[in-house]
Amino acid sequence: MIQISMRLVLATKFWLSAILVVQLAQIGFCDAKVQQAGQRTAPPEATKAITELYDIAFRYVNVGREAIEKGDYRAAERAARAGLAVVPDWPRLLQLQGEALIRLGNYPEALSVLTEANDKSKDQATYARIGFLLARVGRASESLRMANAGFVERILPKTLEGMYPVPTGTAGLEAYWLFAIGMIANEDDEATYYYTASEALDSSPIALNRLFGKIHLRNKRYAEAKESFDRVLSSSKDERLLRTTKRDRDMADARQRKAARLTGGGSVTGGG
Amino acid sequence: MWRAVEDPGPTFQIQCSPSAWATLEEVEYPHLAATAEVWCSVECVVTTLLLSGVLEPGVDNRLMIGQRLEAEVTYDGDVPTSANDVYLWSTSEGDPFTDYTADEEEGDFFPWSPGEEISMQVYFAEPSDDIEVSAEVTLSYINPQLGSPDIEFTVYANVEAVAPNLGINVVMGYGDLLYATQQPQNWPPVGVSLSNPTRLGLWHAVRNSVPWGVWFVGTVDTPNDFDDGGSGTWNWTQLVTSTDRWYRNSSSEYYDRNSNFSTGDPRLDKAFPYEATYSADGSSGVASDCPSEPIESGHEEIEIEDHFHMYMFYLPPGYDSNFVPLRRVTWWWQAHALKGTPNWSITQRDEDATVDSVESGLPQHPEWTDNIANYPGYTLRSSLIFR
Repeated sequence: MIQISMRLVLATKFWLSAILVVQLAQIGFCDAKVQQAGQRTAPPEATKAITELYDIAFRYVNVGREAIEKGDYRAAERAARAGLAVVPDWPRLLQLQGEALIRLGNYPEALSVLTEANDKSKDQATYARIGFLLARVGRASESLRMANAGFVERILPKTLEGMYPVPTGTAGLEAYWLFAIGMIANEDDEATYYYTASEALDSSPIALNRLFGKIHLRNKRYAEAKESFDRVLSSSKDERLLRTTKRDRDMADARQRKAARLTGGGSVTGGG
Repeated sequence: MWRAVEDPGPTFQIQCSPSAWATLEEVEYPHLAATAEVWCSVECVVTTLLLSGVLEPGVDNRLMIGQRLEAEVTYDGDVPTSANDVYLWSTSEGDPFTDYTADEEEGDFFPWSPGEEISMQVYFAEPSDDIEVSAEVTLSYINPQLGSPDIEFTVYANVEAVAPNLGINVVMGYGDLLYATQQPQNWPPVGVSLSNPTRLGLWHAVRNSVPWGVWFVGTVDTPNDFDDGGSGTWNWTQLVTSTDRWYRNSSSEYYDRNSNFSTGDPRLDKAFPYEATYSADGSSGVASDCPSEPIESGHEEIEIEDHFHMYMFYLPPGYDSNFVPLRRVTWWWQAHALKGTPNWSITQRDEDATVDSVESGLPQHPEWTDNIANYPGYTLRSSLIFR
């Protein structure tokens, strides 16, 4: 399926590239009238030509993202490379490539690619991945420095600072960054992937259990949600956190019971 | 005797005081029989915080930044409300605001502040996983028979505000002397002087074989969970944060651009939006800028220094959504050119562009009260000012 999609995209790329060449020849980019009048913006034809190239590149982003969702990380990496052949320096494609390489376990190359992306456009999701990769490849002191500098430079979200203190030592640093990546993610699948990885290294942080519990709840995994919330309730002393978590825990419980009733009175303790 | 019990659970007890007893004092009319009845009526009234607008009540309280959230305290049961009731709203985080308006002359941000009505409306500008929306309620519920004290309680709801995915690419050029008939194949290499330039401008940013001053390429895509009502839109919006332009003629007179300013409020550049509106479905939005000044006969020296903020503005799908800035590109360029014999030459130039990453990756809403286009032309500089 992915291969078919990629072929379609590649075919489109060749046609649009051919059109682009013709258009660029016709534009006369910055003619006498334009410069005499001091026009600020480029001719519409030039803008359109660039737009079309980036639209092709974005299709590779989509193909790559779909491949990651399906667990085909090699296809995602191939899509990123193909996109970079169209727009060589687009950070979004470099980010896609870096993500695929992380999931393939190729950490040194992922670090190199994401560092290049970060040089072009600072992005908190990329920053957090670089922090993780530095810890993973044995450069823990640099990783720790990034964790602390992220707040000074205001790259990392302040909610992260409040929720999950930076570990004082290098132990737990990978779990910290994996949590940060999950928290910054916009999609549940991506957040779940990284929260799970973080939990595998250290399941104790309150913030991890709070946010992971919410994702479980949203995706109707009530037993797991209650388990995560219970960890928060047994270890937090923060009044507001206890209140909100208790409310969500009660909601998970109520929905679990309702789901059990609707399915004919099955066990309320089973998983979602 | 009235009591409000917050979150009572499936069962609860209310103690009545005094308990069910009555006394009768026989004073002036001992012949009258007296009866007394003590009764207790308990009503369980469920108070909820109803969230509406883009949200589906009772499911997950998730919304995109910039989507409108309406919250209202509602009651199950026949609870009379009065004009004396007070609702004190609060939100824990998410940079809440009530409105943002923008046109060619003004951009105004209105932060949210606690209201005292039964409902409230808010937008969040900053993504957050755990925003708590609450209302402290004081009902002046006067029992017609007994009278009663105010009933006070608090209702809560959790909200998650989500930012869209985005990509940004900026390609920056550098200042150069330009010919009116300049074509790409004739670009002067760095440092080459020209005999009859017609402009000093920003140039050389090459994007896919197309040269211009600076290119901004962006994509924004609204996550699938939120694009039922369309994907939303986005635009580029540019502000001039400072500018200084002048030239010297053959009589050694200096002329300043009327638009010069170095401090104070930024001015909108061109229009809102800067060029076009793009769909937030991943389609790319390309903007460009080629700031320049004309070089006319009689000019001997010219200098430009411009500083800009280019914003990526997002308008999410949903009824009555509002703009939120997603990224800010801070960029500037400077060039100085001098007429020699026979050629003009660039004597100095600098340039830089940085994609800002401020808290949570999102910048504050920009505000402006003027447009740079309101200041055309040149003014002869006072001779007292030394350049």
